[in-house]
Amino acid sequence: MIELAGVTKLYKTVIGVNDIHLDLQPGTYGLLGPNGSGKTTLINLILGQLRPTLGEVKLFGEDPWLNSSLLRQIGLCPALEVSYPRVSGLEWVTYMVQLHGFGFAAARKRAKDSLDQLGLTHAMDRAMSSYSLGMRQRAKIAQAIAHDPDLLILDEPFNGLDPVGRFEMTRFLKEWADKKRSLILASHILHEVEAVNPSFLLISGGRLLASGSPQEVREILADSPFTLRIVSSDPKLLSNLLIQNCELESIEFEGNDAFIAATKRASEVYELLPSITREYGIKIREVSSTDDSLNTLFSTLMRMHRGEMNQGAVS
Amino acid sequence: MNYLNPALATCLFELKRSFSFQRMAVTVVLCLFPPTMLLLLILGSKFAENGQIPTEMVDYSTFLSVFLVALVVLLSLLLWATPNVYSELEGKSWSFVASRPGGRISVYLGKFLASVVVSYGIAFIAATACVILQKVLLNILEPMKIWLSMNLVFFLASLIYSALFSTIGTIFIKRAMLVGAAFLIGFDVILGLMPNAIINKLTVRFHLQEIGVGTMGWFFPTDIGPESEYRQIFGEAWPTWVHVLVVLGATVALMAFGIYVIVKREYVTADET
Repeated sequence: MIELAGVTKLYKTVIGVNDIHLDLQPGTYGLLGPNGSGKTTLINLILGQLRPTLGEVKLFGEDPWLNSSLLRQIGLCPALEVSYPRVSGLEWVTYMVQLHGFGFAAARKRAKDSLDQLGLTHAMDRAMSSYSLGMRQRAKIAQAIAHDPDLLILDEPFNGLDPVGRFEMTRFLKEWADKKRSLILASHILHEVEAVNPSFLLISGGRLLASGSPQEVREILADSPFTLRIVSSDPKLLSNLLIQNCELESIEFEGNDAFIAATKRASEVYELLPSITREYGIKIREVSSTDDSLNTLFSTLMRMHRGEMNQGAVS
Repeated sequence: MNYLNPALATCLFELKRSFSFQRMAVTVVLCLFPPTMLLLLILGSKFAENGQIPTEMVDYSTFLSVFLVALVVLLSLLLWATPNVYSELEGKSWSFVASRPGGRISVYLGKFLASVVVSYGIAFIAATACVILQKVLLNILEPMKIWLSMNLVFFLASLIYSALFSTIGTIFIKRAMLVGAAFLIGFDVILGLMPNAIINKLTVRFHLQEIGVGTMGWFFPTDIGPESEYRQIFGEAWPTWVHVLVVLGATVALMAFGIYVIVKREYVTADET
């Protein structure tokens, strides 16, 4: 589906992406990297919006810089905010579909269907400037899917969303992936991407540091120092048991049902949790890594990249 | 690839977006400026001459009408055509439109069409009002011929200057309006007035002026100079259709060059880098 061979992009003297080799087959991918790591540059190269300084990009077997008709098969939801004061969501999405070459009537029907799919039917005739951030985000996704693309590319789709919005977005992305349609989800927050269960592409400083399955990334994480947030029916008992059986560096309680545990041996915690729940009847409602875990992951990967650690699961 | 439907969609979308109080106010001011100025000048001359409109005013009125309408049309084109790429980058909508097949070309053509529609619309209203004033207050001869000629000239002016400014907008993104205005004054006006120079035949103004002279007759006031003097300086007239072809050909060439630039250039918003 997407092939990058030794792709480097320079913005004058600044490196956007650096010597990236990639061969992506149809599927679901999480493009993870800190802010400014080169995710958007990589997306723009894939879409033919930027020309690589070095190397070659192929999209569906062709050079996207030379053949913009390939974009018919792509739905892009950029990270940028767009808002028109006097244009309704329906008018904007219709216009976006018309730019794919559809006539007005067909474009309007597709726009209505996609807005309906994202739960914006009630607001589609309102000016976009009156939309909440979550509604604008949904309108952006509606314009990306309305022409029925083969590959959907979302750049930071969770930005600015409240918990309900994040939940709905995750549900939508899972549904999209379940339909066996291709998806590239770029984000700087690991657990948001984890929820969609994609294969990971980890990028930092313009370099593709690692790629692999969720299991492989978890293996890297498991042996990296990071923090876990655990929501359970009895956090005090659970934390006591973990302290007795694992190397925890610190415990911090959050409210009555959650605590954050910092550890250098996360794999031990993961292995222990099922037996504790069985033996002591503690119900674990949620185990998640905090946002810092991505930084941890990248610092681990950078150390591996520099040869300071074993490669482990990095492919 | 079909660019027509997406270009028309862009044109309509742009026109719809422009229905703001601010833009409507600017459009109304541009429409009313030429007839208002013409009216004030006619009434001013009448008061200066003790209630009688001087005969020179009849002589001057068509030239003034053309000059004033040209002024507002060029201003409108600068406002509408030059920010074609910049407004998309500034409004952060470039990524959305450019990620469509042929989106760059469609948006370029659509915005060109929108600027032609608005600018010619302004010219049509302003020229009509000016000719009506000339007929009512000065009882000019052949008002219909003048009106038709002005419409032809300003329609062609809208086409070629829109193409010129749109192309400038794809090259000089942030300072497109400034570059457009500088080109207009520096090349089209100052260099275009150099006598016996080939360069004045390369200006847009020269060809539009010749089309005006060819269709409505010599419309410059006699104290600026008779046509014979003008011909001595700028050379013999070519047939009008040659000038029309030059203008249309230049429009197509400029648009083609603009399309080449917009397709081959990398445009990235600051947020994306």
